[in-house]
Amino acid sequence: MSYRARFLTRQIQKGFSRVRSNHLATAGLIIIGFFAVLAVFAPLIAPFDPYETDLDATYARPSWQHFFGTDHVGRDIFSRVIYGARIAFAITVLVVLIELAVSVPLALISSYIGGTFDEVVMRIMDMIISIPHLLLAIVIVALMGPGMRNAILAISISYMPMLARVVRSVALSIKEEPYIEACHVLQFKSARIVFSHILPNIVSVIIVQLSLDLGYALIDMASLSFIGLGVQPPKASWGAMLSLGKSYLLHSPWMVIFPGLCIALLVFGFNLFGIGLGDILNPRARQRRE
Amino acid sequence: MQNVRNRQPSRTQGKEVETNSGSRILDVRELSAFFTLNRKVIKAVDRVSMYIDEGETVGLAGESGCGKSTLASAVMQLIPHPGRIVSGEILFRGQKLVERGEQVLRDIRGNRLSLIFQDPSSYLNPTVSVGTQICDVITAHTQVEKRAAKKMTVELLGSLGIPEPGHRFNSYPHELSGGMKQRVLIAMAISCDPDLVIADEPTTALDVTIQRQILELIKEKVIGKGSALLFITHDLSILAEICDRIYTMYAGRVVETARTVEFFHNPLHPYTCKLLSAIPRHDVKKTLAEIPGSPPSLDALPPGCSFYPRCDFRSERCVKERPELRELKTNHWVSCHNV
Amino acid sequence: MSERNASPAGPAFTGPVLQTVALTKHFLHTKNVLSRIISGTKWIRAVDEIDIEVRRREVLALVGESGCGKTTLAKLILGLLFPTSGRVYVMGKTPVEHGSALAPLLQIVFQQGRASLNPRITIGTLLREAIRVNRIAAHDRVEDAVDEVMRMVDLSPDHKDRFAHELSGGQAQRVVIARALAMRPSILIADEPTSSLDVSIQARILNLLIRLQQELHLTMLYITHNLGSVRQISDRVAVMYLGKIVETANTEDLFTHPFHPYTEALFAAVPVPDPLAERKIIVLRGETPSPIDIPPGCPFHPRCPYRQPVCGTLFPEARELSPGRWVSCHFPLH
Repeated sequence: MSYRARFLTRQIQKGFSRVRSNHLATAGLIIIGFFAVLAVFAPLIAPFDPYETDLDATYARPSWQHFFGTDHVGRDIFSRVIYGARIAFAITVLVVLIELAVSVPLALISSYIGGTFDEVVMRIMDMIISIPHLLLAIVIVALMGPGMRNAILAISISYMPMLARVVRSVALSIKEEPYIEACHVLQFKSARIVFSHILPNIVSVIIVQLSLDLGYALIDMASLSFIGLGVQPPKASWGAMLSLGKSYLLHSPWMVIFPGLCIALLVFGFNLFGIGLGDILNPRARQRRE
Repeated sequence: MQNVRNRQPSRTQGKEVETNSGSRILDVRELSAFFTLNRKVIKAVDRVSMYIDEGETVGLAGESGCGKSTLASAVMQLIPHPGRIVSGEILFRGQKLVERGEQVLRDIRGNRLSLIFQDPSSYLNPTVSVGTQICDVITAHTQVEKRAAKKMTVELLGSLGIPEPGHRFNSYPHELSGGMKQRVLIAMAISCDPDLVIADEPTTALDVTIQRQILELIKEKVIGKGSALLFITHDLSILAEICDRIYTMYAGRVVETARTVEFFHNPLHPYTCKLLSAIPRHDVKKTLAEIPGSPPSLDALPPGCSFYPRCDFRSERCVKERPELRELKTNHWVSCHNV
Repeated sequence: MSERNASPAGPAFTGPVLQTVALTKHFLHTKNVLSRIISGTKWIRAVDEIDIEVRRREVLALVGESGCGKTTLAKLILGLLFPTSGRVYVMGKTPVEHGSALAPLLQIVFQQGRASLNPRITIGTLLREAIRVNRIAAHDRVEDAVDEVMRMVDLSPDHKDRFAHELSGGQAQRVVIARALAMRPSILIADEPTSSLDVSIQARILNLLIRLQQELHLTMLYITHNLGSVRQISDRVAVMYLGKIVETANTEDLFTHPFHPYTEALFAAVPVPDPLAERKIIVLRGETPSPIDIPPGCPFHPRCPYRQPVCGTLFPEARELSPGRWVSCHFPLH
């Protein structure tokens, strides 16, 4: 293998062992991994087509045939929950990616340039942050029209300021570090300093924030779907299933319990992973180890 | 506190001073203190023996990682977790200190045994005025009541060269400069007239001229008042000025100890010799000696002499056998096979 | 490493390699408008009308305690800060005029050692990048250049994969020196290169710098408060106090006969490793004043054991008492 490849592999191995030694992160990863497997292998695992209705078996209780029961039009809830995992991941990952792509470069550049540009950007971020997430997302979706795509956009917009602020504050302090000053002496161009020298030191912070945002995104998306602004029926998203099932709560609670449980579990998994990651990447913990 | 005067050479100038048979304030016997971390055992202090007699000034020299600070913490019974004293004994005025109850220790600490540390900011409560902190020490250990303690404190601050001591009593640590804070620490340390003061790098973080101020202050107020002093530092030059005897530590062990003049004019251990020739001097132009390699990591000490890999005088015996301290000349002990 | 940069001033430049003329840098105490209204605009006079010169292949030591402005001076020379007034000349041109061509000419070894190395980047990559960006070596010779400069500072090229926190203090400092030298500068500023290191490591780094200066014919500005090291490495010394140069002289002259009371006090303040040495003890009164509240007249007068009334009112201009010997004092010693 080439020298570069060997070096990178070693770094990745080191990373994995660090994650494995942290119990929180490992637990979180197991939960996430479990749902990921469900999502990827949905067609192989789900016994029924999630959209297939069976009007002879509506409101069926959980049984060996329908593990989680059926809903008001006879669709198998177990299969819908499994396919729902796909949507859950698609949504959360997309939200986080969009957030990342916009906030991080913006915050990095803004903090480095400083001055009026920075002030303007920060005031805009402040304005966005001052509106509660969900409310903002609702407003955006209401303006743009309901649907999964718009919901994803709306949620990621509402998350951007938080990430931008975090990145900016870390970037500001790193900017003053001696090793960045050294870059100036070596006559490095600003782009190189920002992306090759400042960014690597922020990556850990970004990763932690993003892994926590995965959990929040899922909840926010479920909330939007719950009020009908997110994923539209007949798509099998957990939030939409909750929304659908709430009318039948008294006599067919399984329509709500299982999707609800999945949301809670996956969010829990994301949170565990994010917190564990924060532990691992905390510089003070690393120094103590060395 | 401005003066210009000529200094007399060290008061124990190579004379054969009979071992002070006055009380032995501190007696450390074969003390070992280890840190256990992730299944690795770090031997920070490895069978160290030393003593301090009444009124003596003893220097403890060594570079970072040699264990001198851990030794100081051990004497105070304040080694941070996960370190602990593994074996050996510490006697303070004949009283055993290892595994004594907190009550006994609290009575001794701050009262008859006090500390001056390197970074005063970490040892002063930022939310309490400095005067109150000194008063607290006085009232905690003596029968003096508050108002008298306050008066004592103001006098103390004044005698330590702090201008407007009455006003400064109410200052908070962050309002004071580094030198001032160090004076406050010294005030706290001497407020109860201790038998022994342990100073761990008290001047290292200060500017050159402020270092001189603090050093003179220590000479006058600690040594001058009859307290014994254990001065811990990597700066051997300071020890040359104030100490009666000096110990050198390397990788958790004492490698040499002698009276000051003997120590500087006739060092015997290879490490001490190299260390002394590595010190650049502004009064003399000279080439600086280098020690190749680096200190061993304390969790993987070689079985023999810990200085072996870097020593110019090494031999077969050094690899396998740990050298013990031997008295090679009167009151001059060295742990080396080949001297 | 025998290639020398052609002097950017065209045909061989004969003036001083480094020169400052009435160099001044004042910082605003605070940008906060409200506090400026309340307590008046205060200036931190970090560097005040400094004139220094460093000749080719000379080592000038800049000595002073914290707050005297020596690091600010270094940054001004590097072009990291712009002067409030006065000029800096590097080989006859200001740092701004040099632009990016300054890097292969003038480099600095920072004070903070390991902290001036990016903790997320391997040292090999740091060195490679510096060399590549400044086009010090041809594309296919970059790796060789990295190995060469590492060996020059007694570091094995095997350490290329290490991160800064995996190195000892001495090794990290050597990497910093290597990075500076990788630019093949003819001028090197060393800002407290040994301050956070153990005594035995300090000796190694100092010896390394001395050797490199001789082998590479470097012009060096050596900034420190460690007087002992100054005597070993420098040809001339400038003593700084509160933003001003109070004394300049040849090293040997200065150490045998200081003329300025502050210099004398500095020497007397440092202990020597000889218990039998007879020495004059001078204890200065008071604290090192802050550069915000610089006293009128001679900045040193409040602490000076020899002060006279005129010292508090009239600033002593620098006078050349003998060739190359400048003192800024109304009553120089001897």
